[in-house]
Amino acid sequence: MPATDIRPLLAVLVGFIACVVILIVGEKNRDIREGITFGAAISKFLILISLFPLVYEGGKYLFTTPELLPGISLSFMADPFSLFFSTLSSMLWIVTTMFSIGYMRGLHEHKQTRYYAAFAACIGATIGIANSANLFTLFVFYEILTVATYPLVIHDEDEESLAAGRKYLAYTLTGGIFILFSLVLTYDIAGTLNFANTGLLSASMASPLLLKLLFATFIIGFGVKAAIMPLHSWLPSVMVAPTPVSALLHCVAVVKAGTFGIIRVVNNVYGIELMGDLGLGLPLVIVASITIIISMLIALTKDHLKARLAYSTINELSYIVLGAGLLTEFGVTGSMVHIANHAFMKIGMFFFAGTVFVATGKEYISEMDGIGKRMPISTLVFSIGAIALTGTPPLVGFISKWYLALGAIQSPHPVFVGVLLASALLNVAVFWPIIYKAFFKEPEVKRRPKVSLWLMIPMVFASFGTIVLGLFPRFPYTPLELAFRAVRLFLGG
Amino acid sequence: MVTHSLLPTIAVVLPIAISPFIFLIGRRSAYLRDGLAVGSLTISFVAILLMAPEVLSGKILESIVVSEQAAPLPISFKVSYFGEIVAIISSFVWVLATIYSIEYMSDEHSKERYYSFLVLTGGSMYGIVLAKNLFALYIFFELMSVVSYVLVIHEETEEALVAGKKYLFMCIGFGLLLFLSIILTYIGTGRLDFSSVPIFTEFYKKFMIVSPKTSLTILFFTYIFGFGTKAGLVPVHIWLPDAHPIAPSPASALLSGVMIKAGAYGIIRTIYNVFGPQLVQELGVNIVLSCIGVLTIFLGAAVAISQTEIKRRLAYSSINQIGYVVLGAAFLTKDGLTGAILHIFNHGLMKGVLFLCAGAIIYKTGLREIEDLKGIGKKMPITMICFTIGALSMMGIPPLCGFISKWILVLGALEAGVTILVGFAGIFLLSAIMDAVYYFPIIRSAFFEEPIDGDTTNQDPSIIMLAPLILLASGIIIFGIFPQIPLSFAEPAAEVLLGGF
Repeated sequence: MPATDIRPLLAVLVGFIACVVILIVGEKNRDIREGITFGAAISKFLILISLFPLVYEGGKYLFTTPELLPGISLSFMADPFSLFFSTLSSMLWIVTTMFSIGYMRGLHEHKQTRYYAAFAACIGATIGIANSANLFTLFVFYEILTVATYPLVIHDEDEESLAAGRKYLAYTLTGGIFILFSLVLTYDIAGTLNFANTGLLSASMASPLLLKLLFATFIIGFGVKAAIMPLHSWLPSVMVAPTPVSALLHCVAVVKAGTFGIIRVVNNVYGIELMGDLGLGLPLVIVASITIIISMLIALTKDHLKARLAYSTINELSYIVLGAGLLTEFGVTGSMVHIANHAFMKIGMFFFAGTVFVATGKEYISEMDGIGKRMPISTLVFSIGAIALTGTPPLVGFISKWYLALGAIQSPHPVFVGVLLASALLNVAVFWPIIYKAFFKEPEVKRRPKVSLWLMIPMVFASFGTIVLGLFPRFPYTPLELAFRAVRLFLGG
Repeated sequence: MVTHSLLPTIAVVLPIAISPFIFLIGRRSAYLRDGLAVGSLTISFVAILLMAPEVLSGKILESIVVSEQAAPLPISFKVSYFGEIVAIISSFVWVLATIYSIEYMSDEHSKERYYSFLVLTGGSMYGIVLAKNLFALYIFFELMSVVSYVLVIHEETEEALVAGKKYLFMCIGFGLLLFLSIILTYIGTGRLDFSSVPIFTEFYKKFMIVSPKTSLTILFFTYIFGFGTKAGLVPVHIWLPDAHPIAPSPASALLSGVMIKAGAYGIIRTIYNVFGPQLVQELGVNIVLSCIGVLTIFLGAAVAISQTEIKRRLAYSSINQIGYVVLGAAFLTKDGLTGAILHIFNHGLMKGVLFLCAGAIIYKTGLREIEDLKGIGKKMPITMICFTIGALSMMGIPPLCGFISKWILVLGALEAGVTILVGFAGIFLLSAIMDAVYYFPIIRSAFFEEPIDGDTTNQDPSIIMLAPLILLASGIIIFGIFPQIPLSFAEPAAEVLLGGF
């Protein structure tokens, strides 16, 4: 019996309240405004942390608002997987806020109030997605997230960013329609939208063909934000947004909301058993594998650092989808833990891109010769992230690779482990030239730019996570332990 | 008898933990930097030496760094006879090469980077040989592969960077092959620990695509080439002759004398602890492996003869010598394995001294081409005497240590019982002649020809560089006359590995 508690909802509301307060405080009191962001981020994080002990012991929190339609209501919960995603997002919001202050003030950006307000709303929506107890609630916040991100994408308000914004909305809103359609169909078939540990659908509810079609529409819907090829092309475009947005939203919150949705659909809507009976794992794995390889090949050709990172994100997101499609204990665990591991690795790399831009104004890899000699610590953070992405021990990427590979071999299709290995090698090809140029070529300008602590601390934090979670992945309350607990529930144990 | 001990953890973790500080402090104080580097490696060396009496008395030392509550599999250490002897030689050469670096690197750039990575690589090397299970071994193995890249490309010349690129892609690529093998092993058997029972005795046929025999054979070779890349096994050796010589000489000595053994260590663990001698024999893969070993010996020697640059010749000689180790291990006999393990030890001394001597010559005179080294023995007598001792030992001339390991290897071949393997005994003799062909001309022209410029003033380097050379050279003599010392580890190690436990 889940405990009734308002905290899962409270964590969501904090973001939206902060959004309104930030708008009221405005540009004149910018220190207070940023203070509010910090306050909201920290209090959100603490609320979520307070939910940990019970959930960790196998309990669950639930909060349901009055029904809108029979069986449909906005309801919020905290189970291991939701806490996994919400805690991660809110924790990284704290560090990203620090980075935002350094970045936005360093570049004297305009309309910072809008920026911080939209950011708070985005995180509110992300926590809403994470804590939703049914598909309907998830969908509502999923759409809010789409809209709230728009002002951040078009922040520069120039031709390029407005075009990116249009493209972004066209892709994600279309994806939303697919989800809405699937939602209605699911409600029609099952009569409920509440997530169940081992899946709310069962084979007796509808014909296998219908269930397969429904799954396809779900995947197309969530696949847009998860940037599965060929639905990915919005992601490189929105890299025009300020770098903190790319760092938190386009590498953690927004894109992983898509993969979060896919994992929920696979495990809590269909359930691993039904997925296996319908043979739905294999197509998902194939699509993900194609994305993994092709995205890396495209990344090789990109000279714009953030574009290369974007394609690498597409690559890593499909690791998550691949793991989910393996339908084995280790596969799903690896997929889930990769949400957190990728966040730590990649956010540091985006922070590096942002720091270089603030300090030197450079965005292209070909301009970054010798940057490691001018900004050693920042470049080291980038390098640690890149080395981790290739899965080198003892960094976090290795932990993901370990479980995903185990999962692949456990599954009926062990050949897909080859995709993981090929991708690891491609990662070296994509990132090694950058590290090499950064450290071993001579810079044009020798001067060492000053990097403010606002930028430095978040970067070092990301590296710290990359190393510590790689060395001690199974300490209590680490993402891996939560993932194990979540998967145990999904397997019905 | 299992005893918990902190010593293995100190030996491995201390250098790894100190390496970042060397980098940070290195910019401020050169003395502190050198002191920290030499100091931490010396402490490791002492810790490893302190383990020796315990190991010899039959105790099994264990320690845990990250328990299984905190990692997918425990990262822990278990000191075996085999691990101990490789650790002793590694840490000994490491300390000497680091002391030697103090003078050799004095005019070089980025010294803080060099020392910090030298120490970090050292810690991971000891981690490999002291690891209790394949998981921990793999973690240290990959760590070493990636960080030693920085040593390879230290000069940052175009040539070094090209060599480094080749090294990086080969080692990471084949490292992934190794990763795959380990994952398959773990899923298949549920264990990765080294014990008296080889991993593949109870084998679940879960992931078999083809017949068990075929898949085990394939798996065996993915392991061998995964480790063999590091060891310079033909045909995956192609990175080695570019990468080893291009590094600064002390790093070359470590790459070629010590780190190459990480691969050999892995190969021996694969044969004896992962598959077990019985299974290897049943699969018949030892015959194939010994053929690869023979090929490695011949190709290494043949190409070494054609090299005109001294460090490249030494690098090919390493390929040649690692062939001995692999061949000895593939015989599956006690003498063969003892010889292989002893040769790991002896080759560490020999190749260490040879590379360090070559480095001293380059440091003092800038000469790299062998034909320019005429009369160098008159200019740098002590250096060249040390070089000569190393080279004579390589040729297998008694009473130097190289003779002992080759002798035991020949015995091992004769003991093997399979015709083709017995035939390989002749290989050792043939190869000894080839070794003479590529080492002897250097010695002859160094001592018996006049220097090109006619200058015979003494140019021997200072004591900081000479002391490591002299120590290694005397090691070659001492362990040639008293081979019982390394044999007291190598023999029980072979017995344990062969399964009598």
